[in-house]
Amino acid sequence: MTSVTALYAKLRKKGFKNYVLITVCIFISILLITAFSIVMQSNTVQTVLPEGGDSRKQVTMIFSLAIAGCAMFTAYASTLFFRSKSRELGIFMALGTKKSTVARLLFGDLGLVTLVAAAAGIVLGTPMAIGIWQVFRLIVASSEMAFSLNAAAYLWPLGFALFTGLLLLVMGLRFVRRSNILDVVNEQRKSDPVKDVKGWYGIVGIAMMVLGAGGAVVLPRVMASHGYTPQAWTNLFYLLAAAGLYMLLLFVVVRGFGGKKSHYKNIITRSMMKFQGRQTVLNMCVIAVLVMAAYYAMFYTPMTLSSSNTAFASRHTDFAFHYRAGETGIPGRDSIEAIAREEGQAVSDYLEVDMANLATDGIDREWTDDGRFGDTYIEFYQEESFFSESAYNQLTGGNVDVQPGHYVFVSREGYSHNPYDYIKDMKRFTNPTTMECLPVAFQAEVSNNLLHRFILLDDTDYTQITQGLDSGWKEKWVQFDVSDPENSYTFAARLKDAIIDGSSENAAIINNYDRVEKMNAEAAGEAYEGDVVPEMQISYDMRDSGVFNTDWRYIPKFRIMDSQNLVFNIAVYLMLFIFMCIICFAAVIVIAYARCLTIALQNQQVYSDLYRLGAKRDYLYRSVRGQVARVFAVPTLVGTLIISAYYALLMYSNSGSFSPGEIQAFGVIALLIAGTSLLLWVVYRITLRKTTRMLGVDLKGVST
Amino acid sequence: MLHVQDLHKTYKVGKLSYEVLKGVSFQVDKGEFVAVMGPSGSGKTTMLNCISCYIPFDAGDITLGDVNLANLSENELAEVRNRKLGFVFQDFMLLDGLSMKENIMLPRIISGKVSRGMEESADQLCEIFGISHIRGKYPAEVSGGERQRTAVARALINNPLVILADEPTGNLDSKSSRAVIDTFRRAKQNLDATIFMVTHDSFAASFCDRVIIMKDGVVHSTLQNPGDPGAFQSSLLAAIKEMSEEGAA
Repeated sequence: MTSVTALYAKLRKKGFKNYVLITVCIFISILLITAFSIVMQSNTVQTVLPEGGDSRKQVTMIFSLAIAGCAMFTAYASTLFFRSKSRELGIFMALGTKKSTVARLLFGDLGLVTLVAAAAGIVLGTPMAIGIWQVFRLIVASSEMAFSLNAAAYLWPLGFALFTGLLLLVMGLRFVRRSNILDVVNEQRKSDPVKDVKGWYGIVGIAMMVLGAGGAVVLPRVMASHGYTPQAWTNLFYLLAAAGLYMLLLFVVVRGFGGKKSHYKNIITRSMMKFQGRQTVLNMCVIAVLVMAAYYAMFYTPMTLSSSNTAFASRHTDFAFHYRAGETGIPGRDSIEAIAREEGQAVSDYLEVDMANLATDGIDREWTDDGRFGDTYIEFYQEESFFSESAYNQLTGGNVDVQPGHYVFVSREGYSHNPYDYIKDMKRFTNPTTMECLPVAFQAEVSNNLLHRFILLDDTDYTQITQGLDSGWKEKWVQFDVSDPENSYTFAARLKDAIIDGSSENAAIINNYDRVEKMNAEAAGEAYEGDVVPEMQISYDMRDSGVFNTDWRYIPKFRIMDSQNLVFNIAVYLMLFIFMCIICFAAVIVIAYARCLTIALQNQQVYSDLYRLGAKRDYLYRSVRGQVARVFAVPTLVGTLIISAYYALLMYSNSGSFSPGEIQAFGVIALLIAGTSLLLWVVYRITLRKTTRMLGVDLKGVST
Repeated sequence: MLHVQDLHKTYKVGKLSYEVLKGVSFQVDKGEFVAVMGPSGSGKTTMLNCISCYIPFDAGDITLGDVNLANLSENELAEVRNRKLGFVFQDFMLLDGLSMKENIMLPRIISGKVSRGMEESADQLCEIFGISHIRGKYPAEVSGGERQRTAVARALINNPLVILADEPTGNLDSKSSRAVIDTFRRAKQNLDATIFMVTHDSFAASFCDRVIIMKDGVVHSTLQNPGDPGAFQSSLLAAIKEMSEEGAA
């Protein structure tokens, strides 16, 4: 040992666990970000999740939260590393080592740690993403689910590695540049206590969270309902909620909700947590936020499945489809009954009625600079589907009576009108072939899950307005039941194929393809976006994809098929949200585990002193357990409660009530929360065992 | 050897300022063993940290040999710490990952003056201070007294102008304390070392040539050792008692 470098290398070897801790922390952060980014940037997700759509926004938000959590966690791990190095580097400085030499040693270590952790995280993140993806493919093997790897996916982990490197560089420079060497030497012993907080912190924190989350959800809707554009600044309410979360966790760490009796009972636990308060509260905040993100992603699956299944179950018929009146290849009643017979089914209640597509007036709304909507009324605005009242009553067995000159709007159960829709304000319907107009007024809204968004007219009005309508705008609606609906999947699949095979190329359009908009665009000498935007094109070759099954305008509504193919059709969404859930919970577990291990690493002397003061082993055990339990339980509980309340608020504010599907989903969500809590409890027990063993206060034969 | 002139140091905590050193002046000659005593808060450790170049001072001069520390750059201060000063701390400040001998050699290794003689010097110091049997061991494997004697050996490896010791017996039992004080005396006698020690321990101070007593950030008085440690300890205790009564009055 004849050089500072050689001595430092020996010290590095001795303090290897500190290097392992920071390397593992950075590695896990980059591993998770890499895997997440690969999934986010895959062709599947980029194609299926529309740009600017809600799903893309939600996924991006959760991804951002995960990155923020990883960043805070990495910063925390870096702080621990510098603490662990402070004594030896401080002694080096005290004995006359130049700061440039200390900087060289330190930055060499930091560079190596960042490089190794980043490389390992990026390299192993790829198989992790592929592995999870392939597990999903075992469950759902739709054509969209083919794995694709885009180089752009590596920009996020590389960016994060760069951030980590810069963070360590800045922290290292601050560490080396300190003029008071004794501060460096004593850094390891320093605590980062939080000031005592007032008794109202907990309650005010909760109130701020309620106000913040409520404001962020409710205010945009209130603004929109008063004609104001919801502005991005309303998201600032989330900051209020975040501040409330910090205050609540601060309160729990410093004071707790117990009375005076528990104050003394838990005085060791609380005082130790308080004197490492800043880091503890920060970690708990990160855990709570990640728990919220994880549950938010987790809730998507049951909510979607349950709501959809409930809607399917409430349809008034087993089989329904519609097609353009001019189509000649679509199977008629005889063909349908023949296929049914071959599949052991008998068709009953067969109905075939006319429907039409007409133009409605509407409001083209654009945001103006003063934050209000700039409304432009357009007489010939967009395409909607129409039934006569008698056709609708025939199909549904209802008794809707539409007054002449009026219209009735059909909506699905629990449907909430967004503030921009004009559905109750329409004044005229236009025959797009003859351009004849029918002046109308809104009469009522009726509920039907299968015929959502249809408009009903008085029989006379319907006959009058559809007179001379080109066959391309006329359609047939067919519906029937079968004798054994539970075993009708094969029949449904054959009929669906027959319908697709019999459809013309003109019918290969998506739900959002609007021929009225197209006419307006062409009249203005412009190309209609539905003809040029690739995402708006659809082909019968895609018939097995989820996109085709959700987006094709004439996709048959067969209950058995929709129900059994639901997972298949929304597989990409399910996979993405479940993936995010796994990533966020993995981060929660790693952060909580690392935090608890630092309790052991930092407090060995304290527990040794308490033991010398006569504290029994079970008392010390309970003190450690109190801290570990708080790190796990408090943020998990708070995060779970907040996200459950927030999700319920979201669901309620969507429609002003909870639909039966949503209520059913809440039951499933409760079970999922219970299962996840059990998993976290197992991790908590493992962590507790590890921590108490490190401190030498693990219990053997002492009741817990 | 060490000349401190009108030293001032103020700590700032938030908006509050605490003037800890209010013009301290004294001198330590070569080969002298000097202690500083005084009640808590009198400024003795702050003064030692200023002399050690661990914390900057606000005003005054500290001259070590012919070098004025007030005007030195960070690199020059590091060189002073390494080559002209030796340190002994209350909590030993040994590196747990290095053996006792490696700890002793650390200042020499840091200075880059690595030679065959380095190991011989370390062995020699181990011999003088009676720690040869532990030179291959690690700090966690030896007693507090042995650790502190190792720290004294480390302080001497670069033949510094002055050894600065901060409460070197503070963490030790009486037997170990005596052993450490003997180590200092041997360093003075055998190596002509100059030692400047901050202590609360009147017994340890009674072996010094001179004791500077500080109070409220200034030098209150200086007592010379008549050559009898027992009598000197009694006069030290009397002086401290008298100082306390002055404060109470």
